[in-house]
Amino acid sequence: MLNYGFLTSRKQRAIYLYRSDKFYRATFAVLIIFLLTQIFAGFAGGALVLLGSKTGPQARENQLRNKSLVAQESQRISLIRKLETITSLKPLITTRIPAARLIRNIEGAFLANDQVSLTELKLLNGFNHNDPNSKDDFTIIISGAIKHSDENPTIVLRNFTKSLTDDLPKDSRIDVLRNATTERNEAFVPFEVKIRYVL
Amino acid sequence: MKSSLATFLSFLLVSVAIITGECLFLFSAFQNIESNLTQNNNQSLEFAKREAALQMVGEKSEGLEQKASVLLAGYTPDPLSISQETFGDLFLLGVQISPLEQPGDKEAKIWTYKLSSTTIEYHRLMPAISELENQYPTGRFIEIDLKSTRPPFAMSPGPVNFTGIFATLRGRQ
Repeated sequence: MLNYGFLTSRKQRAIYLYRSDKFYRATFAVLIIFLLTQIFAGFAGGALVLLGSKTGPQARENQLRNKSLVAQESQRISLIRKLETITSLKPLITTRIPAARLIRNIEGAFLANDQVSLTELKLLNGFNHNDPNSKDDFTIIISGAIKHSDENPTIVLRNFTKSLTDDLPKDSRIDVLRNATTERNEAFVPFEVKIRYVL
Repeated sequence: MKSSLATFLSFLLVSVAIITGECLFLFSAFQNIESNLTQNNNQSLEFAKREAALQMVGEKSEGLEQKASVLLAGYTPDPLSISQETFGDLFLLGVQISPLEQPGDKEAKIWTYKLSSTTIEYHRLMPAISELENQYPTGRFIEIDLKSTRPPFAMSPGPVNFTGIFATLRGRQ
């Protein structure tokens, strides 16, 4: 096809130029793509406006609920504060091992062994009240005496420590600090046992 | 430069700039809406929990008050007064009880009480000690020393020398 000719007007020539030039064709493609993206952007914007209009009423509803809750909570603030305090102190309360319970367990071991008598009991709890994660850490030192009999005092003490192991909580560590050995002609054979129990 | 190329480049640049700007705007608007929706949903869930908790508290307020008072017994900003109400049978049995901290001590994080007695038998003392521990769930005996005053295997019960330190957490103002 001829680009120019006698029978071709300037307008026709210009239209032909636009159709044949690759940059003009590309410009047209860019324009079409741009228009399509504008349509897509319009839809996306509309959807966002629709979505955004839903957040407003929900936020207002939440504000009203919050006000109502604050009013209701202020009526019960004293109880709520107590419950919050209990929640924060829960580990200290639930993991507590009463010292009296351990002493009762020790008492059980004495009752199970007639030949053993208690002379002194020292209990120390290394619990740190300043540390919220602190645990009960008991050290108990038992001083006792064993009655002379046909049975060897060492065996009596061994039976006693076995009873302690049975009666005390499982993780207790029992060590004999002073063994029951007869050195002089004493009425009773003294001994000392150390118990360590960490929760 | 050909005029067609210049036209193409200028159209391309302007289009890319406009589309990039729109994308950024739409993306930030989407993120904003998404965060608002998440925030609203989280608040709704939190409010539902608070409403449920309030309803539960409302229904069981009397029982909860009692239980809370029992659990927080001794958790006070000032040391306990020394009386039968606070130290129960230990007070009745004549155990000497003295607070180790002064009421105005602002540094104190716990209140400690020294207990001592030389006149009470073991079988009367232990239930009283146990009762005191049960009365104060936040309290702990950090020291107990029991020493028999009778020779071993005595046929009649005798008093024990008892000293102990009992500690309770100090309550916040």
